[in-house]
Amino acid sequence: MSLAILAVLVLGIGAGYFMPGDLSAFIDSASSYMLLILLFSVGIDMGLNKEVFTRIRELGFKILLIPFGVVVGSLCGGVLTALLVKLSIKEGLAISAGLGWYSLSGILITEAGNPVGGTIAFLANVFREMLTFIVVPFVASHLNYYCAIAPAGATAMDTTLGIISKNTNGTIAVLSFVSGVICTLLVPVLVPIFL
Amino acid sequence: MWDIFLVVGIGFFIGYKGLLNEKGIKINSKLQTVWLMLLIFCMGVSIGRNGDIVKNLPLLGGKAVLFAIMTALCSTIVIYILSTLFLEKEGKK
Repeated sequence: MSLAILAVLVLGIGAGYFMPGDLSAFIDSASSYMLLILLFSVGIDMGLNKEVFTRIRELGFKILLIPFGVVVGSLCGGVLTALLVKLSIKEGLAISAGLGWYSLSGILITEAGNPVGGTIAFLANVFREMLTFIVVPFVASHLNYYCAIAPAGATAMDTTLGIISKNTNGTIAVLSFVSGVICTLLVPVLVPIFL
Repeated sequence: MWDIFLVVGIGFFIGYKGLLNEKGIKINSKLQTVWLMLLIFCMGVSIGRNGDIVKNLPLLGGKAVLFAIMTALCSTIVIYILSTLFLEKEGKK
């Protein structure tokens, strides 16, 4: 699965680079509709799992462990990377606090007067989303289902929810959605803290 | 964001109320793979056509890739530890 996804992704990038601008603009705008169709389909799968409410009730506040872990892990990753590539710790934290939401994190950091940091944040969070598509099947089968939510960050509620649902089950898909929503709400709060 | 809640919610309602028969469920599952691949292709196109990404790649791409790998990896490690300690094992689908 991971290889097929990588191939489709590379194909898309190549096509986007070489195809006429108006065609790629059309496909670009089509992707938001594609996302909604996919999420509708994922929603059906979530609903089919009749135990989902029981499981969520059993988990209770433990649900929050997932977004908490995602944020802590991302920030740790940001600090380690900042040390490796000789950026300031604050920059590393701000970049990693994007949690995969590339458009917002890039803009926030750029507008704070750090265009280079903003560009790195934009690219880093784009790559994080791409990486998530590729690694989720592997992580779900080799570690555990909860871990499949981790690389997704804020995108666990939309773009990468489909791949997570496909490789796990209905309960995890709901947890993924909840985690994604919480991460999405946290990005605009967290990034400015570190600027 | 509200459109996402809406479509997931409608889908969830259809699944939960059993409005789809066995055949419909199977077709939905197969189509999901198709939508997923189409979405990934579309997102690839968005990246390929984005001049800013292509332009900045040689200079800042390496750092960005490292940030992507490290944030995804560390998140996965933390969730692995937390789930092993505090969460029940989730079974196969």
